[in-house]
Amino acid sequence: MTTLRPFTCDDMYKFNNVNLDPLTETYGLSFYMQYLAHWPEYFQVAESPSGDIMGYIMGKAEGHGDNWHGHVTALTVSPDYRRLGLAASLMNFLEDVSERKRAYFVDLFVRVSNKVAINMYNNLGYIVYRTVLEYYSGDPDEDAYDMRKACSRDVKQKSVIPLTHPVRPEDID
Amino acid sequence: MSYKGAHVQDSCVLERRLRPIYDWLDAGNYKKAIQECDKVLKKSPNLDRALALKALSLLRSGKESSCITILDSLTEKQLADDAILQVMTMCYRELQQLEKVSQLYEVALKVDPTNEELHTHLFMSYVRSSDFKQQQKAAMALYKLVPKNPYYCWAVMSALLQAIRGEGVDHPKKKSLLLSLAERMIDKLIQENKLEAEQEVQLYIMVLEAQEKYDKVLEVLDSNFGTKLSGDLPQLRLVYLKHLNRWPDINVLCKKILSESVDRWQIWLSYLKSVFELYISNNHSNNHQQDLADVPDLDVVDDTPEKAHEFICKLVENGSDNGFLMRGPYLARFELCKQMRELNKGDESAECLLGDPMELFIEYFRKFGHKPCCVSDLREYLELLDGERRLEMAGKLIREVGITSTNIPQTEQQMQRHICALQLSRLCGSHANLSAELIKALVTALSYHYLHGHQEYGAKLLSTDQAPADAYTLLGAHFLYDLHRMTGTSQPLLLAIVLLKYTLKNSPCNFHLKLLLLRLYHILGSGLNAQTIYDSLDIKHLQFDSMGYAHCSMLSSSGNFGLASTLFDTTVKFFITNYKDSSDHLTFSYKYGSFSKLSEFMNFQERLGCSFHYANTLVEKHFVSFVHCNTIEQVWALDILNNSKYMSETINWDKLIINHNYNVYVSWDPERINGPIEEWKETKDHNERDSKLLYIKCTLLDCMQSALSIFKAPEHRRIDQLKAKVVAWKETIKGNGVVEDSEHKLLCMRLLSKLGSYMRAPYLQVLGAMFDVVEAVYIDDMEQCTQVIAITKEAVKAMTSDICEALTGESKSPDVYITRKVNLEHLSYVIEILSNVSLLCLVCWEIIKNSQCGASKKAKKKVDNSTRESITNLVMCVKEEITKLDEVLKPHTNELTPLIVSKMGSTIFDDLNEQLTAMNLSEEEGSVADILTKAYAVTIKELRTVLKTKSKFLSCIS
Repeated sequence: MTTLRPFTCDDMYKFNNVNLDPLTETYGLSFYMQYLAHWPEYFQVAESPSGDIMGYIMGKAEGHGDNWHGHVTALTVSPDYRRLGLAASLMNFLEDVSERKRAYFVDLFVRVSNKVAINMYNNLGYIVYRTVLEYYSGDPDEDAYDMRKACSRDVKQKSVIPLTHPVRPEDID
Repeated sequence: MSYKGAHVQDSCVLERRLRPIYDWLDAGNYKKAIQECDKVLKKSPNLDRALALKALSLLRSGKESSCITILDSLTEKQLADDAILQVMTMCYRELQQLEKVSQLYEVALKVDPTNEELHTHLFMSYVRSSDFKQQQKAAMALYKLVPKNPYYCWAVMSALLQAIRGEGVDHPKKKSLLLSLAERMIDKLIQENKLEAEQEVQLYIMVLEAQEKYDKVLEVLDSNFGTKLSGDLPQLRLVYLKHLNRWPDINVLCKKILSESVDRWQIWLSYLKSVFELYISNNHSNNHQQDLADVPDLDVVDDTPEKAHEFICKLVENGSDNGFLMRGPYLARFELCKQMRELNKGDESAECLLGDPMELFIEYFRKFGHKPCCVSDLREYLELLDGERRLEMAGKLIREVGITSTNIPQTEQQMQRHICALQLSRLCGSHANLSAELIKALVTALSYHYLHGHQEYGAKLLSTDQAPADAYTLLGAHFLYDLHRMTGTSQPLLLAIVLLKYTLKNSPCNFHLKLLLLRLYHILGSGLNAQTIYDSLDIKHLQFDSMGYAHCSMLSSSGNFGLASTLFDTTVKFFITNYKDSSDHLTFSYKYGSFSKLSEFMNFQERLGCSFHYANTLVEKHFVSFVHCNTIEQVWALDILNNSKYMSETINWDKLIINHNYNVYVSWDPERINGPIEEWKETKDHNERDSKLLYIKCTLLDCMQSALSIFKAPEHRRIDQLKAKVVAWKETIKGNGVVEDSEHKLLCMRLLSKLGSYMRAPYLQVLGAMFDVVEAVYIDDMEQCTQVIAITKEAVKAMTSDICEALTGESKSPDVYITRKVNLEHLSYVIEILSNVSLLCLVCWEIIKNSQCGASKKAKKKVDNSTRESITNLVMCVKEEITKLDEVLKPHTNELTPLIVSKMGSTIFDDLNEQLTAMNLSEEEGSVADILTKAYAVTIKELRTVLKTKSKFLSCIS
């Protein structure tokens, strides 16, 4: 059931069945509010027929010139609703919005250890554009893949030519 | 040039000199910040920004009046320097005087009328105080100065808000005037060809929508403006088509969307709604004929259930999407069946078209039974079958899976289907009337299945995965809870804890296991163990509000005052910070032009500010601070004494809202068919009881505040105010009468309200009498004083002898864990009462001291002495009772598990124990009894410490 609708403040009162999962971070209120205020169209939720939150996606549009792109900040699906193609629908939605915003590409960061997610993004057409060293702090710090998929505006697919060298987090533009 | 250079240099010097003040402020060291301010001000006494910073530093170190003096002096200067105004704004925001900020900027704009920045701040200051009318004025003034579109839109939005949230709410005429004004303002933009950005188009739609001009909205969506929107246009169109009842258009549009993506549930619902709307209206007119020859399928309007069925079947045949089998069309058939049933009650048309609904369930199960969501999908439609047929279906599903008592799942999918069938069986009521023996057997089988599933299919899983086999344990825990309810003993609960803990060790991230453990520990009154589990859930931010009911609210009544105090502080801090910040989000919405979010944000702000959990935690926090008040100095530094209003006056009782998320607890109880737990009658009843309890506690808190701050009130009103508060409290308690506890039927249900147990504690007897003592001492009525002191002493003695008796009898009780829980709760109330009594003794003492100091007549002094003696006498009595109670508690700090627990295993649980032995759990069971006993001992130790400090405290005042 992939009907998406815009995420609203009240959804934060019922997203516990998704957010109590260890891989989904619960952020401070202002983080969500900032996204809702700035990029409301990029924050979508999938609701089940019984009214549960099945998953949601949070994103934004940013960058200048040919770096104008959509970014996936968070994508999460409740354990009960996995392997139903939900993540793909959520990603499609974000890509559609980015298309309408005339973005050149969509990007996201993922832990290099998160094989399941990387595989899924690969299947959705994302490539590893570059590795960002020690992007995730922790013990030990973990590298991130910066994955990208070109939008139709990037006719020559310039945005998805992989970099040959890894970058430091401070060098990400 | 030279002037400008000098200026730059000046401001650099200024920044450098002021920097340390900001740094200290940021670091939270306000004393240093004040010192630094003074240093700067010594050199340049007229530096207003340093003065403003001093005001802020003073405010944050609690010196409100000195801060206000400086602010007033600065206000008089009519400043227009934004840096200074920003600091003053922070002060006024923290003082909650938002109107002052607007005044500041109004004055500043008189000095510097063309300053865009100042105009913007003025506008935002009105946003923060929700003064929509002034917002509109400020925005228009700004637009006249700087003709940018966003400013113009701010004005339009302000007019819209006046109409839908401001004065327009009560005055329909004003509302329509304001709305047409807003529309004309946008029309003007369009005429001037200036309507460009997506946000501006959205605002236009909002204005039209507020006037119910849905036709016009559709025109906008179909025009060039529509292309500027980044949302889902067809879905937007549907919203407005529905408002206009344009069912044929809706029907065709839905078909088009669905044929592209079959899984969009809301679209399915809209489609079926349109089918039935059309069907009903056609039945009345009966002249609707469509020439189907040349129309492509998708453009045909489906206006009968038969056509809808055909459409659904076609999509079912088309199969999958994205490589996944989609649930949409399958579920649509259930919805079609449901709607047909509703339309033609009692007739067989649904069956004629769709066949036996039971077959739909079985087919769905065959297709999706290996997905966990199958259960919640089907749950919504179980009402299509009556009770008996549900049972029949449950039986069929179990047989379908092919797992009997003699075999085990051969694949992970089969296991998932087995789990799904079991969960559905429970939902269908198959387990409702089982005997204890059968439940026991079922639990044994479930734990066996868990063990097998874990060994076979759990090995490859990541530590962050939820293992599918965990579902057996979750079911098992619910069955054990049924058994507990049936037998009234704690054994099944302990076993459930064993099972859950064992499973949690294998799946350390499964939060469902943790949520059940949290609840079970609280059911057993073990707050300390609950805390460990709670910590592992990593509850934070808004979850304090949505999940606080499951733990935070339980802590003080389980005797864990220390833990409670910490969590109350964190919780209250969350609410205060976020409520203050919430107006920032409104200003961001204007900044980014997300006008559609403004109403939502304002509602959310209210939901947060009026949270029941917030009010409850605030009140509880004060009572815990009374328990922790160890010295006389601490009493006079109590937070409650800083409150300028009574607590009951600060809570918006009519608007209090329960924000608890109960549905996060999964279960498969038949009751779940009736909708989310939040909406159950029992849930609402207990929420209602909680509200009553909060009100009682709040009125008592008012009494305490009034008594403790008796010398703050003007002399002639002191005792009257206290009397009035005490009367209000007593009446509230009496109004509630005796509250009978109901039963906690299901593990997934919120725990029972504490109203019943609280009412059984002798608050009224002891504290009621104690307030009479305060009054008698104040009016210096010796005779009355003697009388009420005698009553108080009796009440205190009765209270302690009751609890002592209960505690002594604990070891003889048939079920020590259940008794212990009840006793511990009562003990917590007793300790809270004793803490309040101690504070009130101090108040009496202060009154006596005060009147002695002020007494001029010698005769008066004599009376005082006898009052003094009787108070001393009362204090001695309370101390004695505290000592008695402490002595009784002494053996309860023994960390050895009572013998009775080891005896327990030999009763009805022999075979389950065998099962647990097979799972290497026999030792674990012992350890659960151990950790419960240890935690209990630690809690009792903490309570003894409280009692000892109370005793010391009382020694200080006599």
